[in-house]
Amino acid sequence: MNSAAEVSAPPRDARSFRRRLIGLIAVGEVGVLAAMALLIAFFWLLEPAFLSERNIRAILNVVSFVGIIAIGQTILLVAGEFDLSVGSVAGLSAVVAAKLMTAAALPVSVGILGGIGVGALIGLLNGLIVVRLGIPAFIQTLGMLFIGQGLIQVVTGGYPVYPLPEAINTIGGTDLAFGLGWSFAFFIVAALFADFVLRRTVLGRNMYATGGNKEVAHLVGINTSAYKIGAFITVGALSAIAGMFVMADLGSGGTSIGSGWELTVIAGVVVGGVSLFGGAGTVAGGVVGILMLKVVQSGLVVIGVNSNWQQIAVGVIMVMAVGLDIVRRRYFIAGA
Amino acid sequence: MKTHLKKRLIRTALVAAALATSLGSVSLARAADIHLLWVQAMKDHPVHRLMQAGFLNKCKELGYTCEVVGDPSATNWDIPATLPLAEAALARTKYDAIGVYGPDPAIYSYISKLAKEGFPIVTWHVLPPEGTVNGLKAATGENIAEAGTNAAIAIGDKLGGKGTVALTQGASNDTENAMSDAFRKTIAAKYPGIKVLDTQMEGFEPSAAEAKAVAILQGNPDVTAAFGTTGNSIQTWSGAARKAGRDVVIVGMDYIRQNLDLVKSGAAYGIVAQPLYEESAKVAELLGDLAQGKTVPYSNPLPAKVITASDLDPYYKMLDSAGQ
Repeated sequence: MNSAAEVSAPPRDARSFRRRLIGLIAVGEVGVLAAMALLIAFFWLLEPAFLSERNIRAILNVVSFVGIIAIGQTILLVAGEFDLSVGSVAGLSAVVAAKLMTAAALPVSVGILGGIGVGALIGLLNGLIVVRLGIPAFIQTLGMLFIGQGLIQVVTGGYPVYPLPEAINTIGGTDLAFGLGWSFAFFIVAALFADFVLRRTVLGRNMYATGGNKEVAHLVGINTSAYKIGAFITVGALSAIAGMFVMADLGSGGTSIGSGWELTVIAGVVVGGVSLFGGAGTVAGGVVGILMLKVVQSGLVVIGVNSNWQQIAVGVIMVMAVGLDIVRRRYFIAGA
Repeated sequence: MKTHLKKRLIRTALVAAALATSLGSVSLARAADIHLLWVQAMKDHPVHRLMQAGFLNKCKELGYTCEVVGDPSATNWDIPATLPLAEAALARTKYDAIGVYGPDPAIYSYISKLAKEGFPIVTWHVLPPEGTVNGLKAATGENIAEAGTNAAIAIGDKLGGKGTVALTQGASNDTENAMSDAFRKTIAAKYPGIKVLDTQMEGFEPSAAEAKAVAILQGNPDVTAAFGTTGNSIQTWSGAARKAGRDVVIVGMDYIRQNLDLVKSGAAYGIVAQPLYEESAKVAELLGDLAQGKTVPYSNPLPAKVITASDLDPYYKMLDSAGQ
């Protein structure tokens, strides 16, 4: 004979399905993916041209530039720090590379390596000062933002580096598939690789441990200083690469490359579920967050929202997307 | 016979009237079919807003349907953020011609890309030499160097050939750099008794710009004049002069209302009247002509003289008509 509890409990299949559903909703990126899907559907219903080839291509192209930086910023945030100088680093690396290729008449490959070197070096400097000297990342990287902006003017004398060698214009103008070029290809490969490393390797797990609780991580033998400095170098190098891709795309080493990107990148990855306090978030989530921001900006133009209201709409949608994610975490992760 | 001739004349007149009416209605219908796009980074800067007013008002006058897109910032020049917004508009609407704001060579590749797609493209505010930007059909604006020279002559004459001038730019870009260079060269050539300080970047945020100008005045007690190459410069320097308690001959850019008021009140001396409204209206004309298959001249220069307190009325009227 069955007990009263067994008679009143839902069937095993239903419980298992409910558990699986809650588990799916608890997955980090689901919240922001759901928000993005809703927005895409909304914009498309109002204006089908939103999902036209041209518009999708434009969104993916711009996402590739800031997305490359978002990969590095996500890794750094997971490690428990952040970098406000990414925009300046992108711009400085681009103009240094441009100057090496033009004024210094060095081969394009040397110019590119020089640009990456500048980004990595600034990342190393940021990392050493933050980790060894204990200066808060906010202060150090904000200071580096201003230093970088100044150095851009010093290197260029205030004028854009233009024209660039034909090889750079070729890189920028290459159409690999669907009108997307090398920047998008690099972005996809880098995102997949970084996401795999963070989720599936010891290095990634140690990065989460470093950002989650530095003291405990240190006690179990993780060299937290090395991980943080490594993360700073990574974001510096990736910022440099992003800056040079923009330079190639525009065909000009302009003095405003990267200007204002730092807030866009941080806003995007936070919307994507990466924690500002460290130890949580994924590269996939960060990338989806950036994508969502650009989807919103593009969608508002496509559906014809008055330009005075567009900035307000972007802010409101960002808050709602993060709110949705917080609700998801509170009710579904706890349940799962 | 006379009656027959009269009938033929009346018939001919009626046919001519009918033809004229139908041609007129065709051109009216054609104008209504013309869609023009204006692409401009830092779209919300007050000076850019004035340009957009010139463009949109002219579009309305000519019966064109026009749209403005660009990164919605008043202080940040971001071309990579502007281009996808332009693409979003192009995905939605079939435009007949496009104006692309061209003071930065970073936009040239986009101009060429649009031209390859078959869009007639016009730029304004700068006059790139013909052939230097692939696909660019026309350009309109003032001669930047001439504007800098006019400012130098206005200040030089006002100072009587003696004194020290502070020089600021909003940011380091081709347009402002060229204007500053022309200003310095003219001062050096015509007014050797006038010293020009090193250029400082005031930026586009008003309070920060004013603080910088105050610092320049405090650090240089001999400064008797100031020239700024960006639209906020007059407000920057008049505010700074007032706060520092100094009497400074101020020349700045752009006839937005706040600047006209400052010259009228005596807080500033003069404005380099860059033809912002006129060049933008010209863009609408050029684009409309190109959209209808007409040929237009490539270079369409407009004057940029320095206006002072006695010259302000026509500019106030222009702003009134633009709703600015």
